[in-house]
Amino acid sequence: MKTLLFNILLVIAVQVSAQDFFVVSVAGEIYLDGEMLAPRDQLSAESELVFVGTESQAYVMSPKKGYFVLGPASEPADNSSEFLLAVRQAILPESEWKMTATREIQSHEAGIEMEDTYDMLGYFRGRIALLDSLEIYFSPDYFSTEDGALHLIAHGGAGDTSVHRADTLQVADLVSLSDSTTTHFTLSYLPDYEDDDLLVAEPFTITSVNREELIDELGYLYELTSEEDRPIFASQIAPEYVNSRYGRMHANSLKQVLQEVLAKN
Amino acid sequence: MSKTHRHRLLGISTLNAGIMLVITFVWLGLPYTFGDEAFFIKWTALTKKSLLGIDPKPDPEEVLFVDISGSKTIIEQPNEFGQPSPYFRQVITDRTHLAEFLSLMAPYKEGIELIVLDVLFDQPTEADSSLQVSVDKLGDKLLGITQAPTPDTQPLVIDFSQSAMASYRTTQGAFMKYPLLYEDSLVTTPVRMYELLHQEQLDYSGTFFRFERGISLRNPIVDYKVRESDFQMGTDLVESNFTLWSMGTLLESRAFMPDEAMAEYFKDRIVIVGDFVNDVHNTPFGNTAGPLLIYNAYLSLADGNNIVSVWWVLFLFTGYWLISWRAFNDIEMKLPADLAKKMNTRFGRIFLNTIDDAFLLILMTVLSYFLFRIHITILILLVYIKVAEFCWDKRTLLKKAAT
Repeated sequence: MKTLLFNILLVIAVQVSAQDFFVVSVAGEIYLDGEMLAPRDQLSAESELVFVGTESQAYVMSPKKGYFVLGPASEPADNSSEFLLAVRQAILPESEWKMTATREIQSHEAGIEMEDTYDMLGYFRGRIALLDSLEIYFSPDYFSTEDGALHLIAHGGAGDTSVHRADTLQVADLVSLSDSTTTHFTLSYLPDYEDDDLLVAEPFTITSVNREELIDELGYLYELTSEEDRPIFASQIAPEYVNSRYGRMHANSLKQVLQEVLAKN
Repeated sequence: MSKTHRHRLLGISTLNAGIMLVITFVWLGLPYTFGDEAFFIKWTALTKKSLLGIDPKPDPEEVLFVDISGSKTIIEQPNEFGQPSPYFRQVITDRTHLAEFLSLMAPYKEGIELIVLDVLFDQPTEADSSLQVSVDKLGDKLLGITQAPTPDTQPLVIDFSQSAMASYRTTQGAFMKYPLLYEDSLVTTPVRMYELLHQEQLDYSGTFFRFERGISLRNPIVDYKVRESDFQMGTDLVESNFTLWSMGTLLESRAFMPDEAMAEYFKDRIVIVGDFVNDVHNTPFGNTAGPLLIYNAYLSLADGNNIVSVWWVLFLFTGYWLISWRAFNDIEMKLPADLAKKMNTRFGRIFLNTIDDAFLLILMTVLSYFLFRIHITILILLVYIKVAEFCWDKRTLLKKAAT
């Protein structure tokens, strides 16, 4: 038998009657009245949830009662003694490495948290890995196209291939100007009242990365990662790998890719 | 022991107990306490709450914690020439989102007990006018935060119909007490919450601070009724959980929740809005969010942990009297013979004697907390009783030498 079906009738939900529960997220396959349960679905008192497999879980919330996890394998909340925990911490205090530097890309044991704000000079330098598309918005307060021009120049083997002047630039379009997946750029701003361009960013390269290939690649890397290192896969191992192989990737893009990788594995 | 000597001992013990009582009140009246006291406070509280399970908590459905740590934005700061510069930035709460959230609560405000907005608005932004409109919609249901008035204090850019101080004094960076007043003149947030929710005013015009229920400690040690460890996901749909709601989640809820469900968020609740990630403070129970400290300080007042009862004073006086009697009467602790032999050195005797007094004082603070829910500070009392005992012994020796 491919799957083991668990019929979990929300008998308790019937008892709590008028309470509203809303689905936040679903892991595995869960069906509500014959349809796949999806985020934002509302569970009523008569709802019948069917969990496929023991690992399926639904994370639901109630405006009145808080967050809950439902599933055949859901365990009661951790009620381990706070006192014993305090004793253990007093005798064996936890120690950890702390960075004396800022801008760490991530984070903690819970979830994936990354900086998603970069200043232009900090971001546009060295090697940049481009996934899907990247839209750069230049604030007209500082790069007004009325008073000057922005020059994003793609340097190819046959010389400079493009000069753009715009408030918003689609870098993905520019990357396609080059035959190679890796394109060299300079970004500068020339105000009308200046003779020379103001270099907005150091010369940088953009490498196009195929999303599906990257997900497969990171999935394989995840399999190779030992069990004890998996908690730091999303925070350290994967970002370092992407950085060394392709260049720096925008945190939001990397976060989405890693979420897909972790969901698949 | 002669009758005169006995009477003298009775008198000196009574006087000393009175002095210890005064020291206790003076020390508890300080706006801060010392880091070493945290050890006793932490372990007596843990023993009572966790080990013995004496840990009454408020109903989670009475409070709504709203976290704004995920709703930040960046504003530009002036450079050294006073001009806005993209190279000088500050991260602040996104006031557009906050205004939206306050407006979201406005239709439900009659059912809300109180909204505490634990955010300081000292930097002007473009969104201030819309935030002000949202603040005005909530009127007296909203309690804002003011900051300590110092020469460097920036005036607030948002006007609240009512506001209070959200500051405490600390030594060694540890939070222990939430004062009722700032600099004896400005009411702090937990007190203002108590006044608004219980329709009872703090009278601080006389020597003692008073509520209608009785004399109050000026700077009560906070009892941590709701701790970070209480925020857990439930598995039983019947029970309610202490939940930290992200402001973004509440705003997005409008898109898929019916109005009745939205009302459930706020109905009959105290809404506490603040940064639960970045605004953290060192407490005996580990790092705790600032808004949670305010709520616990309010609960301590609501449960009367600040009220000085006659029975508590009697308990302290009796305990101090017994300690004084033991000290001045040279009553020593009885040890097993083999241990007593090993400890029969000068330093051993001093150590044993100190342990004895320390033990009795620890016992007192434990009993005080267990019976009256009030921690007492004992280290200063231990120092005092040792000095008093030393002086008494010296006096006795000098008197003997003279005769």
